[in-house]
Amino acid sequence: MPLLEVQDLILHYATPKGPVRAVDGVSFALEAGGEVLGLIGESGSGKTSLGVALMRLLPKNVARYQGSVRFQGREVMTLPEAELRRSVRWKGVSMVFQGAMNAFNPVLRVGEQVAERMLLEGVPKPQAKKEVERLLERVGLPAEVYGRYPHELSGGMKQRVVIAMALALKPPLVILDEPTSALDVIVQAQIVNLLKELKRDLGLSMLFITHDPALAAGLCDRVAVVYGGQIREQGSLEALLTRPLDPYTQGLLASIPRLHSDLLPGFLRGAPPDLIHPPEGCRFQERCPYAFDACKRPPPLLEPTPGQQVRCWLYHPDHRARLPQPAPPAGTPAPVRPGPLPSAQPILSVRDLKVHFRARSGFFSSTAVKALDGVSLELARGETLAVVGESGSGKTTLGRATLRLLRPTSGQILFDGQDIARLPEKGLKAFRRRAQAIFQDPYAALSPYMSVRQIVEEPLLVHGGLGPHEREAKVLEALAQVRLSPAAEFAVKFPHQLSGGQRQRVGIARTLVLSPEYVVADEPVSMIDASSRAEILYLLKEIQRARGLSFLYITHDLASSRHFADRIAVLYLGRVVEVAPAVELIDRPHHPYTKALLEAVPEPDPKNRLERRAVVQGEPPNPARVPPGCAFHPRCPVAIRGECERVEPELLEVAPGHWVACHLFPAPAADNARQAEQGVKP
Amino acid sequence: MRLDLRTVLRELWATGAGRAGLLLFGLLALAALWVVLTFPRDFGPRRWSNPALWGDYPKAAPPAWTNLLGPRRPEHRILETRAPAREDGKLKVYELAFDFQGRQPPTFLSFSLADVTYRSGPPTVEAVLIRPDGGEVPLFRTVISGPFPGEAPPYRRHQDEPLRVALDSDPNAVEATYGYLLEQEPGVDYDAVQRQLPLALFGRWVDGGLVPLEGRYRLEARVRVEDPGDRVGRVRFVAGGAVYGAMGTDAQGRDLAQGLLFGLPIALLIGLAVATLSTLLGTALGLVSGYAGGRTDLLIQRAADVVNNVPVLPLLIFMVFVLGARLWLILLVLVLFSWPGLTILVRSMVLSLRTSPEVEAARALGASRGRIIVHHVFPHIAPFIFATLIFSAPSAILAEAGLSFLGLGDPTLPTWGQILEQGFRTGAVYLGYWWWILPPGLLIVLTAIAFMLISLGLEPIVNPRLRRGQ
Amino acid sequence: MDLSLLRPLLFRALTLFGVLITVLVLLAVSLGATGFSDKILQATVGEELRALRTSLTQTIRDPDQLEAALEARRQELLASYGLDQPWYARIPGMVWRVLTLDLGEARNLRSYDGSSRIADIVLERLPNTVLLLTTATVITAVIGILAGVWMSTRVGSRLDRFVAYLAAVSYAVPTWWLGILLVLVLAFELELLPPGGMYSAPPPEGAFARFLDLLWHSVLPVLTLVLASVGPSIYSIRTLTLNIAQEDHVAVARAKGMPEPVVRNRHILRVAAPPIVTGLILGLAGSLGGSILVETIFDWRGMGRLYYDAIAGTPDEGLIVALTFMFTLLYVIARLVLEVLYVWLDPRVRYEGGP
Repeated sequence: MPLLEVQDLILHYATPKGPVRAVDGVSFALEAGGEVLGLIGESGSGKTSLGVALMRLLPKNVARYQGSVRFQGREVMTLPEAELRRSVRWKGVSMVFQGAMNAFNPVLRVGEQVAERMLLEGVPKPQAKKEVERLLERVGLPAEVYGRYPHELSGGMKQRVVIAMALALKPPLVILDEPTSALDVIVQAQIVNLLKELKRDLGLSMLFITHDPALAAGLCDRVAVVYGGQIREQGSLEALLTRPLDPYTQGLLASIPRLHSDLLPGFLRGAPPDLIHPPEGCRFQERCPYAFDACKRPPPLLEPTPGQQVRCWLYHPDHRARLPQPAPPAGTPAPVRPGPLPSAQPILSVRDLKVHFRARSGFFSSTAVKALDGVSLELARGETLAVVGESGSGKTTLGRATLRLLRPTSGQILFDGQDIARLPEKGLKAFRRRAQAIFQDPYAALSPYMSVRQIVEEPLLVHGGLGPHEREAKVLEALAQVRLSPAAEFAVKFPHQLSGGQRQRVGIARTLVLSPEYVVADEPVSMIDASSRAEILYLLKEIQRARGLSFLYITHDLASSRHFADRIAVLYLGRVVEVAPAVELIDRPHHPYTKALLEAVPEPDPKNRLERRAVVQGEPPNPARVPPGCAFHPRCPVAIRGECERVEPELLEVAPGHWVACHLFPAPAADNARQAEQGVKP
Repeated sequence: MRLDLRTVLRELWATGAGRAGLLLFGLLALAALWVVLTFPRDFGPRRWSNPALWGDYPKAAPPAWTNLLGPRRPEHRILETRAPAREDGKLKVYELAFDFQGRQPPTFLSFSLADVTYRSGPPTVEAVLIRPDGGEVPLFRTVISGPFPGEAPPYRRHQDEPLRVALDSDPNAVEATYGYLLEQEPGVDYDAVQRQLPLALFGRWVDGGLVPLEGRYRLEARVRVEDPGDRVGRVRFVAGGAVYGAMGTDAQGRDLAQGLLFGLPIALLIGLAVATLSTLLGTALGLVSGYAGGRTDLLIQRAADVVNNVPVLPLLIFMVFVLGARLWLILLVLVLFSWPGLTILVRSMVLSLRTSPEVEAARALGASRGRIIVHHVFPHIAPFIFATLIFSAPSAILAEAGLSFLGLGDPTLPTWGQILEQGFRTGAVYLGYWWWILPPGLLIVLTAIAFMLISLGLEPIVNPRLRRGQ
Repeated sequence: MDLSLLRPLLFRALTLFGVLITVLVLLAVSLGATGFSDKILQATVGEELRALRTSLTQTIRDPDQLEAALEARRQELLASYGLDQPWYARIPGMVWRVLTLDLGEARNLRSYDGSSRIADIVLERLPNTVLLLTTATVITAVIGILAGVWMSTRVGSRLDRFVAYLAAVSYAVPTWWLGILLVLVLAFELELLPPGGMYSAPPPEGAFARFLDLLWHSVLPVLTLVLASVGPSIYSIRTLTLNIAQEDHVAVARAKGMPEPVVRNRHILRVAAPPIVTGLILGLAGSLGGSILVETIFDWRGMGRLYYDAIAGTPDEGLIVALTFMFTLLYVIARLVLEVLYVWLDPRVRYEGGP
């Protein structure tokens, strides 16, 4: 008997626009004793609703449930509320909710919140406290966290407490809903490691809900891909990652940029279906490259290979002939990469840039937050330089400073030979015409009160010199260039009528309409569904090639940098720790921090599942309290005692075009480098 | 999402509350416009606060329509003529006729002449009541005062102050009535006639008592003039009632309907002026505070802190008391106490908008600060400003009413609060004069509700979460 | 109480003290700049001189000598009241005097035992105002919380919409007019309750009977204050509760299998408590103003009624200044009490300082 058996589960709930069919006929099973099932789906796929439905968390007056959920053989759907609460919730199934930031009652100590349910089970208070403290230690936190309030903990700590809370009653099953979202990649890897340990040591079964197949690859035994409220494909992790059957699964996997392969990511056109008015028949038909007339009818769940189910007409015996032979490739081969760029005069040259903010730290005192502390970089014409780092690394500040959206504390920013760091706002107008920005949040960067036309026209109005007809023509041209066509139709729309990807294109069109030479793209795709990201990046690349643009590509995503950037600069606490050509940096990283980052990046490789990764400890410290010496030394596994905590390393060229700021790499000294290699890899 | 006035009005109209509010406000505004066009500017000092003007009105009389609900009480009649009904050489006869029905005689009777002009000798005036039974009762006779030494013709008399005779207590009238009744019926009791002169005039002596005589009465003012050009401008006869007009009267006999009507444009003015000015001030300070930063910001924030942290009414009372109760000063003080809320709100919105990606994007493309404020900051805060504008109007109206109620209203402009204050001070509450107490309060509530309903209707525009219907 | 509580509280206390001083300076400036303070002080000087003249005429016969003596005394008095200095030079002295409750003499009004010291008169009235205001606020808060929480489970119902409209209408109804209405209906038409005053005349014998009498007389004023503010109170608490009920940590608590009463009390109400206190803080100024008018209507012998009496007839400037100050003081103290409550309820402000 499986631990959890779900049969034809349906969840509809009411919204003002009509009932949402969030879960539409889902069936799966999960075994006890440490099986991990991954539910992979993008935003709006209904994957979160599925987790909610399993515990029947939406009240029955809001939601309509159908189907069967059997937990340890007992039917959950018809269980009386009181019984459900007593014996299923938390005791049988506990849950780690998305967004640990909000999972805590802000006015109670976190320990009390973990212990709360134990007390309900009749555990005496002192004993509960002891047990919670033990649990906190189990998830890697000091016991004194018990008495802290939620706002006193960092994001990673909260996430660990949330996991401890889920373990409070030692349930056989934990539902994890995006347990690492909003966490930096290293902390994310730490959490995944913790979950692996729990699975191994406690025999904990898990339902792991995520949008990221790579993350699922690190933990899951079996995977189900959710799309439009339905499971499109499920099977073993190995099978799904190596031989995906469903066109959507194939597209989704192909869209993941690979860290160590030159295979370029693919993308899916269009947007996921609206669950209020889902399309008749196959939910994926509008985006599917293989769609044919049968797809107008709902596809059945088929099992073309044992243990791997798929919901697609292509695998139906009647339509087998249509199946492309062999199965479509999982990505596009890389075109020939252009060689290292000729070091012509750079368009942008940043020298010893410092940006310090004053932050109030007490009643009368304030401390300097050193967002950037001596950054030097160069960007050649037509080049893309990726700036990567965790939150607090200063990468966004760097982008804003080079656009003079903020005034640097010191240092030079040479744009085409002219230092713009000290120019007054009035003197910047000519510069602004040549330098532009693309922003992370396509929702927030566009005025909701302006039409697409007004938005794209604004730069032309600001810089003047054109008549209304010329402006109109330029706007339509820019819209066509970002493939918002028919352009005239999009021009009269307002941002709220567009999808996230379309909005981001409007943002790009606004950037391009002035024909800039330098563009800062700050996480331009992080808020877009993974399967559509590459499309935007290709668009940027294409425009760059056509116009000879230079990009500063600010991102937390090393894998995409490999494919879209020429060089990568790694920032840690406001300092550049390593710069190198993209492939060189990823394949031959030198700095321990770069290595740690690369080590933490999840990859959709089933081989990663069992091994526990070597991940550096801790979270990046507050930029207001930068450690002395090398800022990374407290977390560095190979720190040289007596040197790293005293002396700040210089950024030195260790190989042509490869610069590192680390005491292990005093410029060309191969011996030390070898030592370091040995030090990191056990 | 476009946000112009037309869209706002359309969205407003789409909600029930907004529609009701707009209709109510439209109605009030029309009525106020009518008042502004027809009432004199100096209505307060010249009419409302001029006791001479209200002598002919019943004191503390409920509205006339109360007769429909309870026992019939005599209605108030004011009969007036400006031209003689007939002329016979030097005799000009002004005639006033009315029907008397019912059991109760008028509560008082008064006769007055105004605007007399003569050239040589002063005219004599004789007032005669002609009863339905044909009898004539000469009520009184008088001579207009003669020329003063040194005065040149034409002589004008009773221009501002009419010659007024209270008939119900005039000894001549008593004598004449007693004489007349005695002719008809022997045994008339003189004391009874004196005591109930109005009933005696409009009644008969039957079986040892006075009973009303229904029918058509005529009052003639016979004016003998020396010169044919001499004339009396206005003759008025008032048969005092126990009910009056649409809204009744106060203890001084003032027509409450007029006072209440005059209060309407003032209330709207207070509401709109204070709301507009304090919104402008609040927005401007908020924008400055949010954008300027530094010392200016600190100063404005401290000021807002102080004003926001004081009990408003006691200070309002104090300020109005010190500065003097003039409407514009009261408005000024109300404005001075009502800006901080919006300033704090606008400042915090500006601060978050300043660093918003939208503004960042506009700055990156080189937009000037002015353009950013107009196109990228203002549209976001405009709905809040508009909602605050509407929402702060009722509180201004209420605050002024409260001040007036404490006796700190502008004495030259009758407001609803002042009418209530006078009612309260003269004990109207304890005497049960509900028509004096209820309508002004109801009007305050109605006006405030008009604004409240509009601001309820604005809620979905201001709060996007509601717009999606959640 | 741990030390972390003290810092934000100290900060709030300092701010509120600053407010108090600012208000006092504002009072002094408006009195001085408008010539009011000159007028008041001149009147006092004139009064004293008149008294002096009467007594001096007994001893000094020579009119020149008399005038000289009076003039000397006049100069002395002018100097002692600071009238020989411009008005702004007197501000610090005045602020200090008010702060130390050295408030001067009332013109006509007297305390019950006949004292004409303003401090005596005002302090005698203070407890009555506090009693009325506290009772009304507590009742409003209790009803608001009980009904608001209950309403939050019935969002969208007919009753919910009714309360929404009631709250809107409450903003539009002057509290004092509502009071008059209640007097008209409950006291005069139905003769259910006394129309005003604090005790029957003559007051009943015995402390308990007197207390009951006071209670009986407080029904209408308290009812008025409660009716005026309970609608908005219910509605805002309903909305607050509703918003918090939709937060993630409540879903977590439910998923944990916590019983519904625990979810409601510990995870919704407890979290809603600080903003509810903020609501009370914001409503404080309104109820204070309302109480002035309500005391006037019900002849409740508190500071509000005193205010009315000080304005009516011959205005008593000294008393008005004193009352304005006392109301501000009362407000500031009440605010501080609520701020303490807030800081105690919300661990987050302990590190940030102030709601």
